[in-house]
Order: sequence, then structure tokens, then C-alpha cells
Amino acid sequence: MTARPRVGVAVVALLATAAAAAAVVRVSSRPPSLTDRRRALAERLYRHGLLPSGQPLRARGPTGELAGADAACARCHRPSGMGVVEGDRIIPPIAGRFLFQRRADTVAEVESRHPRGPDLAHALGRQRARVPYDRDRLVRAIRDGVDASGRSLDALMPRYALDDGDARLLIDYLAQLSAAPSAGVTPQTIDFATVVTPDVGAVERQAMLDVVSAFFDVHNAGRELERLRARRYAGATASSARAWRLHVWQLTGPPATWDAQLVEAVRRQPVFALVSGISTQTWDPVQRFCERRALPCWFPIVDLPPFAEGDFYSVYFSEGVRLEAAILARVLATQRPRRLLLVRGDDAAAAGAVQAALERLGRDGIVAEERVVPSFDRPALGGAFAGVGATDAVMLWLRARELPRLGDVPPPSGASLYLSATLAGGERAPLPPAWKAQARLIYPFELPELRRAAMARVRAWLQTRGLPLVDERVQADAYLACVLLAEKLDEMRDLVQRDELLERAEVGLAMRAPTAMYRRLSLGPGQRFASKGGYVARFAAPTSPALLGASDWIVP
Amino acid sequence: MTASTAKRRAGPIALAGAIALVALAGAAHAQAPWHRTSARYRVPDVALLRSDGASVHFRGELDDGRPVILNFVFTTCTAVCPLMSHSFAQLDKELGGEVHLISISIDPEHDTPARLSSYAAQLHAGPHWSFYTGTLEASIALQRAFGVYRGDKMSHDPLTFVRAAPGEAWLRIEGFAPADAIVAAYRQLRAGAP
Repeated sequence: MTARPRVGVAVVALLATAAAAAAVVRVSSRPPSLTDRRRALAERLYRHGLLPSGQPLRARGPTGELAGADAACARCHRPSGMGVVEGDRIIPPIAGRFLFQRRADTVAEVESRHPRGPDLAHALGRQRARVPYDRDRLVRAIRDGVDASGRSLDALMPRYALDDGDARLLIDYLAQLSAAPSAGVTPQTIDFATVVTPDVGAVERQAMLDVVSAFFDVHNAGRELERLRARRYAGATASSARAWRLHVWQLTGPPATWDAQLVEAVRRQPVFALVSGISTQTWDPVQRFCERRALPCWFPIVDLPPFAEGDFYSVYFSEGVRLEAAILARVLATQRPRRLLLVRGDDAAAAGAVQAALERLGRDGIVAEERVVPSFDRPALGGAFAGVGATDAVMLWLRARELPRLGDVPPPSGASLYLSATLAGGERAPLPPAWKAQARLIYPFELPELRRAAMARVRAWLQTRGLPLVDERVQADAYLACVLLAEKLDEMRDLVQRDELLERAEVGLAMRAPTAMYRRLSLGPGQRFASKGGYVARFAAPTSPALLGASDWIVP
Repeated sequence: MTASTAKRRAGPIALAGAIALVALAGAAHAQAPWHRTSARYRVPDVALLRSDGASVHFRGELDDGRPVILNFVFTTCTAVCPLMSHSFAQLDKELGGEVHLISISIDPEHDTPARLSSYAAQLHAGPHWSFYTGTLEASIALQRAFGVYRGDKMSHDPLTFVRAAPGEAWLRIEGFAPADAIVAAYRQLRAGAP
């Protein structure tokens, strides 16, 4: 498949050839001088500190010589080139639009030019205006640390050893960096999609969609009010908020066909990002699609997130069942059962969980055995738990719908029994009483007692929107995804860029977000799973959904 | 030390609220990239995990008799820590045999012993450079003890702490001090200079 790049149009096109299907180039409005090959070389230089020759980029930093990735521009200025604040240090934006114009020296001037935080902050922070950079001045800044107006740059900015050709390449790259508006964004609107995979039940699907739709309605109503004020009252600031539009991308058929469905969906309706979304089985095709198309995939509700570190565009609340597997391994490393049985049904997320657990347990030297229950009748269940003794441990990677069937057989006598909270439905797991008395939940959320205050905010919001509580995790996660999206878009104000959305999630999740189901949420550069731990919990009584912590907070 | 750098510590501050403070501090950076003060800290004996997976108590690690040079970092940090770690890597080469280098994670829930260990490998850290993680509470307790806690890992400052021997005062170096400056400060400290 090929898509013709349309220069000057805000379209993210996909350019793939048979020879280089993996080497996808993002195309946006850009100077014609930067061919795809030069762009790829420039991106490698900018992001990874490798010169076109393959040699590491070299520079003199405040603490000595730097080379390669340590010297890469993106290390500090970030992939978007939009800059960042770290502590009280401002790393200024270096995307061309900021460099090639004069930097103003009054607040009013700055605001009139770039109504956004970092540049304003930088202009204030340095307390000095400067003339625009041109190519020669920029080369001097990069090599000698002298700014466009002839003053020395901050000591933190390395001085680079870059020959003329490589400097030209880098400057061409900066000129086009974050220059085009992201697809799905107009001055008045931002389009989003939410993806639902075909395995998701009707109740969970609707629970997610109702929350996201209601959130969009509230956002858009607020925007209308601001517009009304600005029209009617002199002196009111015109709103820069855009109306949000939600598109539901319901996938159908087997996962192998999803990519083509997503390609077609985004062709018909370009979107800025995927927000929330839900899947109980695999999410790999969606994440791969997002990565290839540089499309943010913003906190979907998935039981088995793909391994995302190293990928840029997908962020998750947690690693789901893989986090549970790691917590289990941590617990068993001290408990040291004679052997561990990993029991699952025919379920992709459960299979992924077992695989993750086997890898992790293998490293810790714990003998584990997978048992797939083909059908939940008495003989099959009897077989699955045959020969389990008191020094063994059993982990149930079973779905809520599978659990009531366990009532046909007694729980394995004396064995340590664990249960996946993600698959079983948390504290609402419909486990027969005899099993419940013995089971411990591997629980990758904050304990219900301890999240009561955080969840009160979510519940109150649902109530005001007339939404009954049908699935706490789904509704809370969908709400939280929307809150975080609104916060980050608000921070970006007029210049809405996909890369920067992710960069802002990296640096700013911990301070302000409501935590809803989680103990705390925090990312960092390159981090893609916000909540990193969980508990072992037990049921207060065999007939009650009340949970009690059976461990401290565990970060495996 | 300039007045503006000494007075600009405001604890955890939201990004937007930081702008005015940054404006005041901005000019000081170019002129005074680093400065030194002497300080005494009450260090809590928290339980930590070393990058080799060992469970340790911090005072035992800190007070084993060797001189100590210490900092706070996290492995996914982009601007501040790579430069500090860069300095430490040079210190490791130069002083490795005689000084215990200690790096404590301020993002302990992400920086597992395995991640710290690969971070150490990237830096070619020798046997005298130890990396520690643990619970977030333990990390915060240490950050508070050394007066570096800023409420969030993204708000941290470049700080290096040098101590000639257990029981003695710490030299607190604020800013991006190059390795040779830290070595010089350490040698002065060893020689008993103030």
C-alpha cells in the first residue's frame, strides 16, 4: 500500500514500500529540501545522536565531553522540539517556528505571538529578547553556544562538534519539526476516536462509551459558554478551546484484520488521538498501528497491554495481567511453593498472563506448570487440580464467567490459591464460597478502602451525568483518560501536537491527576505504564465482596 | 553563592506556578553554575534494595568507613541526571578505589534493581559505585533528609554530596559541577580544609 504524501496539508500519511515495510516515514508539511532519506538521517541525529556517517555526535557539556545519545538534542528538548521544564530549569523549544523569529521581551508581545507556557516562560526566564536565528547564527549557537543576539547560551547547552553538512541537515530538520498542525485538528475542532475490539461485552462497551461521550459533551458545553462570553462582553478573552468530536471505531473479525480496518477508519476520518478504548483480549494490532502512524493511544482499558517500553505513542494505566504475573512471582519468591500451577481457560489475555508468569518465575527458579481447562465441567476441572498438595500453589487466570463453575469441585486442599483480579472482576469475582475463603486476589489497584476518597470524585461525576455505576474499573479508567486528556490539551493551548501530548504525560502525571482506581500514577520519559504495583488481598468473608489487604504495596 | 540561587527553593510547585521563580533564577545559572555549602544531615536508616538485588539498610551502606560521594537520580531522566551521572562516571574512574559512590533513585517504583543494574552497566560503573532503590517512602525519606525533596521526580535539582568520613559534615554541591571540581573539593575535604 502506498499513500501519496500531500505536502502542505495536515495529513499524516503512511509511506511504505515492500522493501522497507518497517521503516515508516511520517510525512507532514515540510520544506521540500528534506527528502525522506535525509529526514531519516536527520531524525537519527536529532533523537539518537548518531551522525549520518554512523559516528556518534560529540559535544562539550557542562560536566565534560558528551557523545551519542547523551548528546542528542531530543534528550533535553524532547522529540517534539517543544522544550520542557525540569525542576526550575527551562529547556527552551527549538522547533523552527520558535528559532526563526524574534523572541519578544514583554509578556504582551510574547502572548500575542505564542500563547503558550514554555516559550513565555523562557522569554521571561532569560529576561532578554533576541533577534531571529538564521542559518549562520544557528550554526554558531550549536557549535559555540552564542545566541542570535551574540550572547552566551546557558552552560547547560552543550557545544557541538558538527561539520557544515551535518549542521545543515540538523537545521533543515528543526525547520520542519512540529511545524505542521497534527491531523485531526482544526482551529475549531479536534477529532478523536475510541477503539472497541469485538471480544468486549455489551455492558463494558457501553459503560466506556457513555463516560467518554458524556465527558466530551461537558467539555463542549464549557467551550460554548466561553465563546458566548467572548462574543457578548468586551474584554473577555476569546477561548482557544476547540470542540471535541468522538468517533467510535468498532473493530470486527479476527485480530489479523484489525490493522486494515484501522487504516481505513483513519483514512475516512483523520483523528488527533485515540482516547480510552477497550479490549479484553489482544491489543497488539492497535498499538502497532498507533506506533506506525504516530497516533497517540491514550490510556485504553486493556487486560493485556502489549509490551510497550521502547514504543512512544501508547500509554497505559498499568501492565494489567503482566503486572499481576510479576506481583505473583515476587510473592512466591519468598513463599517458595513446591510447584505452581497456572490454570487458565481458552482466553488470549489469560494465555498472555501465563506466558509472562512463566518467564518471570523461570528467572526466580520456581517450577511452574500451565494447565489449560478445555471445558468447565466436573471431569475437566477435576483433572486440572489433580494431585495438588498442601505445599503447592495455584494461580487462577480465570474470567468472571468461568468462576461459578468451580463450585462443582472442592478447592485444592491446603494449597495456596491465587486469583487474577483483572480477569475475575476484582472484589466482585463470582467465586464459590469455599474457594473464596481460601483464595488470595492479586490486585493491581489501590485497595477499595484506601481509594474511597479518590473514587468519590469519579462517582460524583457519574452521578451528575446520570450514569449508574455498572463497572467501576471501566468507568473510572474511561473518566481518568478523559480528565488527563483535557488537562494536557489545556496545557498545550493553541499549538496541539501529538508528540508533545505524550511528552506532557511523561512529565506531568504525578502532580495533578486524580488517581481513581490506582494508588499513584506516574510516568517519566520513556515510561508507558503509570501504575506500577499492587497488593495481595483476601475476601473479608466468603459471602462478602469486601476486600482486606493481605500484603503491603508490592512493586515487583 | 548568589542570593537568588539560595532562596529560590520552593518545594513542590506546579509547572505553571514555577514560571515566575524561574524568571528570577534564570540569570544566576550562567554566572554560577554550581556552588558549595557545608551541612550536617540526620540520615534515616531506611531499608533499601541495591541494584544487585541485596536488601540493605542505608546507614550500614553509608557508614562503612569509606569517603562517600552521593547523588539522587532516576534512570529515565533526560536532562539533569545524565549530566550528573556523566560526572559520576568520571569520578568513578578517578577515585573509584578510595571513594564509595552512591546513587539513590528518586523514581524507585520504576527503577527496579534490574533497571538500575542496566543503567549502571551503560555507565560502565565499577564496583565502588552503588545504586539504590526501595519503596517510594524510603526514597522520599532520604530525599527529605538531604534537603533535595521537591515533590516530584521531574522537579529535582542537580546536587552532589561529599563526605570525607562517617560522622563528619557533608559538602553540598549545588549545580552541574564538573568531575574535576568535585575531585578538587573532595581532596580539600580529605585534607581537612573547610
